Amino acid sequence: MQDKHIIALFQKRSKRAIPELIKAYQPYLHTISYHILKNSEDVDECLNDTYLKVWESIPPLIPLSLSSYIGKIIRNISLDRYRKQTSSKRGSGEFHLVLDELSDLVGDHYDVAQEVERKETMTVINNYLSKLTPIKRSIFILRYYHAYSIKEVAKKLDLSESNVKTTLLRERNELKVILTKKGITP
Amino acid sequence: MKKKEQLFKDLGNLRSEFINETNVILENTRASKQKKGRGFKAIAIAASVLLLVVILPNTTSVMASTLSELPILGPMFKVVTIRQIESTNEQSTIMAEIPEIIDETSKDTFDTKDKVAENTISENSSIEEVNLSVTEYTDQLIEVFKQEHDGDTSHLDISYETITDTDTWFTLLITSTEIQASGYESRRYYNIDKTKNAYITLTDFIPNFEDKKEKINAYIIQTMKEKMAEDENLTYFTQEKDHTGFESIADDQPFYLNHEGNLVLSFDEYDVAPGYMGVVEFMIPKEVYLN
Repeated sequence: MQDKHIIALFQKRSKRAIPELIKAYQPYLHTISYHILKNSEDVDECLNDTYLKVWESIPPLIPLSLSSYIGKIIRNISLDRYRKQTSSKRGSGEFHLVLDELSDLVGDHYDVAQEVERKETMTVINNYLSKLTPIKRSIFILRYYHAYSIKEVAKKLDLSESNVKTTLLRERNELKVILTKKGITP
Repeated sequence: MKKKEQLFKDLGNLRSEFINETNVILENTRASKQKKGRGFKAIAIAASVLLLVVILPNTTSVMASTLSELPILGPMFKVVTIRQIESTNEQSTIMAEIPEIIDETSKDTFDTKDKVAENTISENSSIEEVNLSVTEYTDQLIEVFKQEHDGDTSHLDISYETITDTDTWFTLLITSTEIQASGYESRRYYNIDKTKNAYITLTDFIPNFEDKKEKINAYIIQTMKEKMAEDENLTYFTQEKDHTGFESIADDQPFYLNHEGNLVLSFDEYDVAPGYMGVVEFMIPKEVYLN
């Protein structure tokens, strides 16, 4: 079913809305959440919370892009849960590497307080990505939006692991240079 | 909020066109990988057709005599929808297509060969048996669903598919999907051995089933471990990981033979793996279940 039809079901408060959303997007949402939490029970709960959130927010909201709207919701919900977990459960695994790579980009002081700086960072990253080729852009998105492992990115895009690794390293280095010039990265 | 997670969270605000583009690229890469596989098959078929054309002129007389000696093709089955249910009340919906197998053999091709026609008409008990089982099973699914989901938001979907149809074997699949907050998929296979005209269960199919069970179980556990070692995204409930792990296949474990004639065992969602793994299948090599 097309996105606009799914959204229409939510607007009509149809009981088919959530089943159709699940049919179309459960694997997509599951992948993102599982990369962050690595635990099926936690993921299942996050999925339920996400469906509820979508049900509560559409209407009044009508997302322009359903996949990125629900992607954002599942990321935030999964991330909240990740943060609540004890530090013994966290701090290792692939997701931790993703976070390390990202925090290396912006340095330690990047946090909640600096709202303006965070917005500017996003503008810089969006502009940077818009200049890349679609494949290079997808490599970045899969790694830092979906939290895929290097191996998975390579497999999903039919590329070699070293190719993916090098591309990501170059992208991070180039971004770091731009962010430093802007005074965001110290 | 820990600083480390902040940028990852903010990246949720990446332009949606980028996210969508990546999804399209993923889909295209997947499709082109599949296409590559299909391409080879098409070439193989083209090659064999070509071969036939080349050989034919010299072998016509031989062909003619061989053709008449060819064994009669197995019965031809057709699957049709006999009942379509679409029911909705306040909260729940049921959408079901219930199939029936029909024996088409007697209809046209063989009407001159009385023997065959008689055989298939009088001995299609395997079909009747399967049709009856399918009706019982689907009726039960619907009845249980109605009782259990009286008043909550839920959805039941029943569909069917012919999995295998060769000269010697026929497998019909009934899939039921129950969706509440998340989905639950369950599959039942109905197998007919065309050579014996018999509805075959797993215990019929594997001689000395009780003895072979252990070997098959061991093979499945080993396969689970290998797959998990290969790909970190895969999880199966092996006994070491949690105490509720896979112990043994059931006597009525859903199974089918694929087009190559290989035995495939099917496990419903949550049976041997977490829900995100969906329905799980294992192909069992002949040396594991035969002597």
